[in-house]
Amino acid sequence: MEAYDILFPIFIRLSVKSLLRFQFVSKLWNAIISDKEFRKIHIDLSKASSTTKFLLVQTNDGAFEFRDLENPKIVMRKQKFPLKRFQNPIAMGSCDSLVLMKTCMDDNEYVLWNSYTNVCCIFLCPYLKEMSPHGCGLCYDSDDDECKVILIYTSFYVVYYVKRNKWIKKTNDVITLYPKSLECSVGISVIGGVFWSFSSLEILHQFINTYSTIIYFDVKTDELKEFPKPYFVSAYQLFRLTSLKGCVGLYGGLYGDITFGLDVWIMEQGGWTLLIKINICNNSYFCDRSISNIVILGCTRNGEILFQIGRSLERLVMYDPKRREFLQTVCIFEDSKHDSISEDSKYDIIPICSESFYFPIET
Amino acid sequence: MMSLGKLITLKTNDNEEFKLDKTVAVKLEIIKNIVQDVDCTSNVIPLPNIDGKTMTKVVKYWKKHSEEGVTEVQLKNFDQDFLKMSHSELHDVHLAAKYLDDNQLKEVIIQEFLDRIKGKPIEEIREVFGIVNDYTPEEEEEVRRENAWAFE
Repeated sequence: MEAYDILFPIFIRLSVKSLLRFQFVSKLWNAIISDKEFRKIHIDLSKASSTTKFLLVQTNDGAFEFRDLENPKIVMRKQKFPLKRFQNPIAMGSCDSLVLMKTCMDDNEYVLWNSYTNVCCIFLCPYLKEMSPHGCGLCYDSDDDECKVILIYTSFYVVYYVKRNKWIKKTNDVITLYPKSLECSVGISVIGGVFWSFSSLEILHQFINTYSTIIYFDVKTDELKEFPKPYFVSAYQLFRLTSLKGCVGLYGGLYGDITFGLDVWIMEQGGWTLLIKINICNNSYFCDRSISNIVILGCTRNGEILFQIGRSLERLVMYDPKRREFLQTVCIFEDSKHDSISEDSKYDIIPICSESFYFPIET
Repeated sequence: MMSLGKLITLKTNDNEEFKLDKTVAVKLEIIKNIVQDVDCTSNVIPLPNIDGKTMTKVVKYWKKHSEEGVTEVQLKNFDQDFLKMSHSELHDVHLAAKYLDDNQLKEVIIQEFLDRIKGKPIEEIREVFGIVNDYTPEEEEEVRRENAWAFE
């Protein structure tokens, strides 16, 4: 008991990495670190901060690199995806330290993966076999301590409650009013839900302008809803969704051409705020001017914004709004891998918000 | 209530007595509560969970940290020196701080423990804490394999 009194407050302040190592000090240490109650408190503390901490970069050999968001030059570690038969999995969404994965080979099989502890589980969608959903998303309900997976199909959507292993099929106006022959954008997880955009014009797929609709899954009501388009979005502008500081964000500008400047908006406390306005005109990093070659990955503690840019999104650039300049650039696929960059390969980077033990079910 | 400016005597479980200025002592919630309840005539507060050796350290810490005009740098140097104690002594001071509900002292001790174990190899940690490895080589190998990345 005495040892527990002192070890508990020490352990609660340690990272998951240190704790996994310290399990071997003794069986008593292992017992405290593996204790359910301890893990719950540790998870809650990790969740308390909602800023992005890591980037999970999928490399060409099928492995994943962990890079520090604050200093993306450094590869902290490299890890193989734990399931061998899931070759080249695609990330469909991420929330805290969990990532929703799927392969192109199978339309119904999904994997939920804690990239940090490398724990995973497989689940099968019982609906519409041989059909991929138009949109996928993942979110965490803190009230219910439940992890929810959302799959959007043409005339309905389904919610999978991971902890309870329960599927619910739903439909509503949002689903039936809009033609969803087209794919939604990638699901953007924020505190309280997941956001997607889709457009009635095929060419605008992934972008937001007057022809698009923004929808979101409300984690409290488990409903898919239409999100009112912000006032600054006009017919001449193109925006994309992102997640910043746990809130939904939009970035883009006139004609989706960054020559005219790049605006980054954030939805905080019920209203839209222009976070920064960047003049990219003379920046040599941005050789391609289209918004489709720019992804915002997150925001550092100091408020710098990390961009993924390039024709195949192969470069990381940090923007410092105080000095109004781009600070560092990292080519994420250099050296030997360079040969295999083809014209149409795009590099997926998954922002991870916490280093936590959290996994909705026991494995 | 005792009158102001008086000394308070704290008596440890091995009958060592510590005389403290009341203004120092009442900063601690637990002492304040006892002072309010205790019999006015005696002015002696028993501390049944703390021994004299540990209390000497705690009182030394309190006195320095309530000194008038003491600078941040002086306190930092003092803390550094103060924390140069064995693992078991540190543990005893933590228990005392916990009993006395002194959050500041508790935090200082926890931070010291963290500094002592962060990034250290497992073997060294066992040595510092005087822990005997109770894993069999097979068990150790198994857990190590599962979490290989944590050892990189």
